[in-house]
Amino acid sequence: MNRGETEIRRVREPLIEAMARSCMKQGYLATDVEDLLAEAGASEEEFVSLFGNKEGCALAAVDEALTAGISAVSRGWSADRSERESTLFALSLLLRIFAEKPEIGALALTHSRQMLPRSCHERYEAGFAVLTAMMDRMRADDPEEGRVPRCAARAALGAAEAVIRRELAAGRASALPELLPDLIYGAVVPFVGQEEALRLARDSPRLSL
Amino acid sequence: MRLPPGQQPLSQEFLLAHRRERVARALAECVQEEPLHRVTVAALAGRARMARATFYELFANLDEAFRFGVAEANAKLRAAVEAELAKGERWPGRIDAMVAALLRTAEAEPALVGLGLLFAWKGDLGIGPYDPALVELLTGALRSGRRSAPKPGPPPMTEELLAFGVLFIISERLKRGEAGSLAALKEEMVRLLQQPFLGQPQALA
Repeated sequence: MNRGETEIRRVREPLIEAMARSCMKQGYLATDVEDLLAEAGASEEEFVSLFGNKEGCALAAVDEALTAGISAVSRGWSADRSERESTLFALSLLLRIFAEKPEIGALALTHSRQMLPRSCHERYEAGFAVLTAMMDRMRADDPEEGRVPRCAARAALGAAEAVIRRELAAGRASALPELLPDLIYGAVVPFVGQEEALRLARDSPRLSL
Repeated sequence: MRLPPGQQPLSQEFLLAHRRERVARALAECVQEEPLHRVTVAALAGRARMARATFYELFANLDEAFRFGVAEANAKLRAAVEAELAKGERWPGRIDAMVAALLRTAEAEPALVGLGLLFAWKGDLGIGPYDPALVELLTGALRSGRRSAPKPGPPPMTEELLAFGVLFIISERLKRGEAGSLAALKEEMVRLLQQPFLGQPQALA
């Protein structure tokens, strides 16, 4: 990598962060590339070289949000935990990420769905499919095949997504981790039944450590 | 317009409402094909088979038409659910009727209902994932299930999460153009909604 490329990469992260913040504050449509350049201290040439155009920058920002999410999910996986605990630990990490960086959550969960170009939402959907597959593995605990509704995992994740979107929009990002017991109960009850779901929800403070 | 003998001319109010609904349906179809920000008044008016000037007689701008469309879609869903709940069936049977009403309405008006479910509600309560009044209606119907739930009962947000989950599944099917497959979801959706209150063996019955 020559010096010029290194210089350009130096402004990549600030530009992506500026895009995420702007989308959260005023939406993708009202986001002005000139403002992003000023905030990140980058030139138009660097912007074009990195992203091509505004849509490319938004795509890169969604990718960053997804990478952060997938990385949290990977960190949640551990040989010391059961598959179920790993899934719930990943959920608690995601909540913490969204609480600390609400612009990441807003970009991935709200703006990619409604305002950004379709390509951005396709990236998000790919990440959502990975999470659904993880949740669906809890079916293995079901001794009677077909007892758990087929749509259970997607409904649970869609519900959690909706709650997070609402809390982010209401400016309550920092309180997201407090919702973990309710989200855990809602996510696992179709798979493990009431009694075990309540136990897992009660134990959730352990996952937040 | 000459009407057949014996028919009364349509009122101005009726015609206005009918035209506004045409715009809402046309907008719902437009956003299935391209992002909202790419929809133009010219394209929308063309799809609604009206002149641009007529569009501006009905709405001040695209945003107003969008808000009307979202409100119209959610009003249809609420009316369908309210009609079922008004029949007075007891829990858990009323959950069955509520799910049937949601699925039936979505299947009958897939584009319009999709518009209401997929786009943020910009009401007094701020940007929310779904229409707060619709969510409240569904959570209210589900809440009766707590009476029969074993103690200590599900956590406080359970009804809301279930309502969000069901609306998410419907919106997802509509987005993929699979409205025809909605009716087949009824049984598992009912099970999904009843089970957190009844426990699995009873919900299966």
